Amino acid sequence: MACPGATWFGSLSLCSTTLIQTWIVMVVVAGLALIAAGSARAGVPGRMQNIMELLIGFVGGFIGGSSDVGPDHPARNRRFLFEYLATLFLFVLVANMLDVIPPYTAPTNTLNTTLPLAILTFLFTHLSGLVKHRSRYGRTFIHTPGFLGYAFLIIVAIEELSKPLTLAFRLFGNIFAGELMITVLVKLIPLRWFYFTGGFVPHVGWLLFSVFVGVVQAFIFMVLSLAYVGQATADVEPAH
Amino acid sequence: MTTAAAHILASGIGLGLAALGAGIGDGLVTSRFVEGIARQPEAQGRLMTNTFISVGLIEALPLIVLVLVGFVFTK
Repeated sequence: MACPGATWFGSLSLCSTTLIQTWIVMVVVAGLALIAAGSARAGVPGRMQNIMELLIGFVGGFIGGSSDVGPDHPARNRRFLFEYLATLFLFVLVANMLDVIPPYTAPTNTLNTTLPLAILTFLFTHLSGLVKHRSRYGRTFIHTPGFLGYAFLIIVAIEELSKPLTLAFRLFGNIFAGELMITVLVKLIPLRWFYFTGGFVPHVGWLLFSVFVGVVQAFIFMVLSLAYVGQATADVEPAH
Repeated sequence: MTTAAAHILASGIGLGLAALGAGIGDGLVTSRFVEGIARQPEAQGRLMTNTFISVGLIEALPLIVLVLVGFVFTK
């Protein structure tokens, strides 16, 4: 939560560890993509191309199979959506994987990384809704005819604002709790002789589990972003 | 009771209740998942994806409680 080596500029703080780790993740994602794209060929795919095609094809297949974003979705919008979601998925996945390299922690263990990602999804959702519905976008939030529809706008607003908040807190909470648990385990089983004769098993086991949780959370972040965009761009008949 | 003791007690009770609720929820989802596989083994792939999504959503709630407890407790 609080960054240990934070530099303060007035009321703004700069967390160098998170910054450096985010740059590492960016370099890894861009490097993997460039290597895979540079060695891509139409015949038998190489190892890198295979991995990249698996990940990208997974995201693409998920968008294609999703009932939220139907086949009548504008193709140009859809390509942009695919690029955004694939980037988001790869970034969060690699960021969560950084936990297994000892000197580093995942950059997603702080709200400073996850909240911007969630706000990005929030902006993307409503911008794609505006592009789809134009001036009628405001009316899609009114689900009940008459005065009640306007009265319920407060609840709809709370619902819309809670979406990016829960999105950010979910990713942050999962990764942060995983790292907190490792800290607690180190306190319970300290580095003595019995640590090296089998005491490390809980630590390694929990690390394996948090790697699994990291993959699932990256997937969930992508799926929920897709669901929110699908809701905003769905064909709804206004209630009046 | 001091304020610090009250904080610890409240965090413990809150976290325990959150874990209890999430445990019940996870159990309900997973039991239906196993039932679904037993009934239709060929649907396992689709069921597993949806189960992971649901379990991930449910698991997030006690973790959000943990984060909130941490915020309150460190104040």
